[in-house]
Amino acid sequence: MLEIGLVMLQGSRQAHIDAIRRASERMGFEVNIREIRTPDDLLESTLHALILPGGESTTMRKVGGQGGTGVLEHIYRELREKPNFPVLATCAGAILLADPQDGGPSIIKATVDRNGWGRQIDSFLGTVSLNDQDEHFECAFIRAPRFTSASKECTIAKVGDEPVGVRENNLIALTFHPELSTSTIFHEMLLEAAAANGDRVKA
Amino acid sequence: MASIDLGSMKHGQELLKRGFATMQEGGVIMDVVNAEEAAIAEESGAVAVMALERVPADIRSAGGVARMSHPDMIKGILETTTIPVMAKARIGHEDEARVLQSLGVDMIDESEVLTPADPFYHINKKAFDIPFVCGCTNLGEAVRRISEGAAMIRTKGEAGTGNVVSAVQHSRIVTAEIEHLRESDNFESIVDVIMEGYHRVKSATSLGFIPKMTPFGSMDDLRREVESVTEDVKELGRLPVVTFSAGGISTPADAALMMRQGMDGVFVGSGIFKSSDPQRTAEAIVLATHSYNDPEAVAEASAMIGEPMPGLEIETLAVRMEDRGW
Repeated sequence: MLEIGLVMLQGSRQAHIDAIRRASERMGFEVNIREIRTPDDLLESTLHALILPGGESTTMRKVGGQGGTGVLEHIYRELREKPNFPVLATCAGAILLADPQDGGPSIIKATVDRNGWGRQIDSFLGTVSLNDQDEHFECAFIRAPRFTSASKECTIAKVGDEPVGVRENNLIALTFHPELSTSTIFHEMLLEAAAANGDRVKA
Repeated sequence: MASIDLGSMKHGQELLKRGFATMQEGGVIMDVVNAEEAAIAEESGAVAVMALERVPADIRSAGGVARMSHPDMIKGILETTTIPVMAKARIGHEDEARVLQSLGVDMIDESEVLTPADPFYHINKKAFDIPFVCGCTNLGEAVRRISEGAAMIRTKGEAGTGNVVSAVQHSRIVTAEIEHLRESDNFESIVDVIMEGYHRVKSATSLGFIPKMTPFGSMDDLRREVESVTEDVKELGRLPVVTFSAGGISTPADAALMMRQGMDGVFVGSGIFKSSDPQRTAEAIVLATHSYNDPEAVAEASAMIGEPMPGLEIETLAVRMEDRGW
């Protein structure tokens, strides 16, 4: 059984739950989704992977920061201590990892410009290609952030020449919303990393 | 850095519109009347701001025809705010909506808080590239708005009153009607009732007929769309778009009440900037909306605020905004 923590601060949470379910069915993994709202939720669970959904990063910092539940500081600390821990961070989640604003170093090296494409009128469906595969996926970029620096070695997903996804160890950060597309490839990537880290149970 | 040619990309699709609404889930959308208030809202953790010239409580006391806000006022907020900015168009006023889209707002609220411009029809929202949120008091209204292209629904409540009773009424009615739809085996007759909302011309015309054409295409095509949305509701057991509560929410406990009734988030209009300490009230409502299931956290949030906005009894109102739109 893989325990997948879903950080419930705000935003596109239900869509990630649905996507993880679809991915685990495809792969034949048994998955339990743990909703992470408070530091206790994090400390009391043994997780194999974590998902940081998209939404508004300013709101997430407020409700998960010092004035709120304080869960973000705990997540950042865990991720700094365990650099191999599997994480899927989408859109606002990627912003938090690139710029945690808790006084500590960034969790991923890539830097991100928030709302790098503009407003909602500029939101678009982009054809995302993966480095090592011929397949393409149509994915939603919604008031999306934009990588301002991403090393070639870490870039795993592109639209044209533009990097839109990076992977550093098992930290996967995407500027788009794979949870809103029909392909579950990025959620499968996360489960693959989670299974390699923990015990794998075939359904 | 290489670049994407935005002009060659697909914009304005349903997925992007509904996807935008999905990113609002669990959040608080706050009414603001200038850039300073927008900054307070953003700082307090609002997930978006609604830019308008007067909050509903002031619209209510001013009376007269309430219209779209001045473009300069909306631009001032767009220029200084990093979170999404929404603005209100009158019900059925397609040209106010076109102006708002051209200004660059992220979402349009086709709102009963303003005076309706069309006595028969709402805006054809599918003709726009940016998403719309619309109000509802019952399932039929919600289904009609989604069929017309709304990417998000908010229950109407009674804006500008600081009284949560109408918000609760509309949330309970929508929930009960969805339950009824799921249990009923008379799907077509429910669709018939929902379609009656498009027959308002009949009672106004001297010839007593139902027009074959609507702003949303032919009445037959519209019915197919209504059927499809109603099927979605029946299958999902909820509205197929993000659903917020609005109209009268003014305390952290009000927000928690609506979240526990299954709402995806809340709009707070007059409740924040008509309170004694707007910043604290805004932060407290954001925290309570997030931690709605934890009474200790809601208690902490409730202790943060000073005096909430003064409230109004629904029975004493001269204008019931919830009755606008159909």
